[in-house]
Amino acid sequence: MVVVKRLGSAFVTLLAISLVVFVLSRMSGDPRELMLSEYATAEDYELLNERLGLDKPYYAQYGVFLADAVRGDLGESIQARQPVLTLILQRLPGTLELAGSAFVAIILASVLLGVATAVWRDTWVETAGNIVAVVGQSVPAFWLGIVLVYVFALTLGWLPMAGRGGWLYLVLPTLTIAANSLAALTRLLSSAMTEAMDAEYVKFANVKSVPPWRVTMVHCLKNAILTPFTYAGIILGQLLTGSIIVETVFGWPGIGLLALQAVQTRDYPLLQGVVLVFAIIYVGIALLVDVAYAYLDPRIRH
Amino acid sequence: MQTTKTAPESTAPDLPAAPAVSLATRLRRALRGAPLPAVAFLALVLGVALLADLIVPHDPLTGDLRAYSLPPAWKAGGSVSYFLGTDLLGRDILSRIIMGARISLIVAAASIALGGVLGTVLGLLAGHFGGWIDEVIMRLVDTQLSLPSLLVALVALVVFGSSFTVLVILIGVWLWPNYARIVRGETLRIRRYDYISLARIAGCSTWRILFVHELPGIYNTLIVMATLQAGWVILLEGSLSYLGVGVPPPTPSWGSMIAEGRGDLASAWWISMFPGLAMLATVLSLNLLGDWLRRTLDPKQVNQ
Repeated sequence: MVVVKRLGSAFVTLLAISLVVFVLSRMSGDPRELMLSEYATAEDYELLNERLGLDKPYYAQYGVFLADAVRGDLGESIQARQPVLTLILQRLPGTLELAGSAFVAIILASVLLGVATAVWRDTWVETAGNIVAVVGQSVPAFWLGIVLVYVFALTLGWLPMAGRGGWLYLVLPTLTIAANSLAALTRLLSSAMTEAMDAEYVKFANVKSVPPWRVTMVHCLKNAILTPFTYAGIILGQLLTGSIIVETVFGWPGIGLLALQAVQTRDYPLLQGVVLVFAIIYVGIALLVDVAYAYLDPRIRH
Repeated sequence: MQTTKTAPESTAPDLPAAPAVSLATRLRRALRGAPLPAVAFLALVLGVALLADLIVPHDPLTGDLRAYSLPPAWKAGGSVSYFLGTDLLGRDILSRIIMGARISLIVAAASIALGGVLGTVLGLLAGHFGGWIDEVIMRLVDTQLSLPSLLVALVALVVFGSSFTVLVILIGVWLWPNYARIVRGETLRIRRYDYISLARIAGCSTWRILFVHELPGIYNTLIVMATLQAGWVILLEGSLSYLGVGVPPPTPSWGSMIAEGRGDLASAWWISMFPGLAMLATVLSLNLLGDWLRRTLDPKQVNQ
């Protein structure tokens, strides 16, 4: 029941996004002016009008746009003169690789920081953890990227400056993209852990003389991790949008960089396609997280 | 358990002959436990932003090409006149950072005012009336929160062209769902209180109950949210300006200054470095202040 309802609202969201994208792209002016050269004749305009379906009323154009999009036809890029979908599919692995490595980094770091700040409450560990979290939340990602490049690539020469290659190329972009999202998850996990460690079953486990590390890392963490879990969806969303900025800083060939290129060249079909693909991934992740959460927590299922 | 709205002074016995508390003492009490370096830094940024055109050492818009790419004063070849160095067009970095502070703060204040008012009014309506009004407003909130906002903003800025007004409207519209959701939750809690029922019995109109009796109950929440979001908006405006769709040039913005220095990092690191530091320090101070306010005013539901 929950799943069906969520599927419905995900569908509504996607429709809303497609409508926003469609309206915005139609408000941007006559697409023919961008596609045709300045020597084009009136007949060329007429021909393109028919081919693009611009002679039809707006609602019909939107219908055609939707029907095409469902069939995977997102139009043709004005600049590259290639199908938008091909361009996006070429760049998708890059973004997924970066988002994946950042997601793993964020989860590992926030579990480490969250548990440490909860276990060593009121000591320097908590202070240090809090400082890392709040600075990470406050630092402009694009500037952090530049500083990291300056220090580790230009000055020390340890890591490559830009581009995609082996795992060495992943280090700086991953750090940059992870910094902003780390704080919120660490805080959530830390307070969930603190709560879990005060629970009755912890006292019981201690009485049973379960080793302390096992109480913390197994008994408490298992209960604490569910609370920040819904936040994982938000983080994945942040990673995708964050990829636009980080890919720009590091010249990383992904969809984010593609989106920026589309913005700079005013390539509307490409931009439209990128936004739609981003939206599908975004909504899909939120849906998955909600369904997984309902599965993990039986209270929500009913 | 309930959030109390009483000021710290009210705990003192209310004697008619109580000695007058000086302003300084009151200020000290109000700021107890506050992150003072953060407050001081924010005061500095605010002062600098207000007085920007009086205190800039050089013209932030036109540079002296003879003095291009000068390092900061303490490096070899630096000049005390251009304390933080100059960019490739010979413009003084410090002056541009000072003007940039004004832009950052104005964008943040204006967009939060817009998003805050919109979200608060809609949140109040949703929480107070419930029913289909609530349903419609909350569905809008959910839909907008599930949009990839940065991309939609990028598209909108390309379509409408980037200008100060478009930027503020866009960020304001981006922010309102957060306010609406939290204000709705708070309103649902407050409207059950006896004083609301009493106000209704006393014959207050719906609008009076909404804005005179319910709204003041959520001021604390709103203050905390606005402070925490100010930092976030400054980062957002910086990102958009960095991507080249924010505040249009030649107006100095921290984000676009960082972008300008990216290509010459090896030879002139200071062009990108100092505006970023200014941004980091400002956002960090806002976040520290916001965290303190949250602990002090204790609204339970605020988190981004």
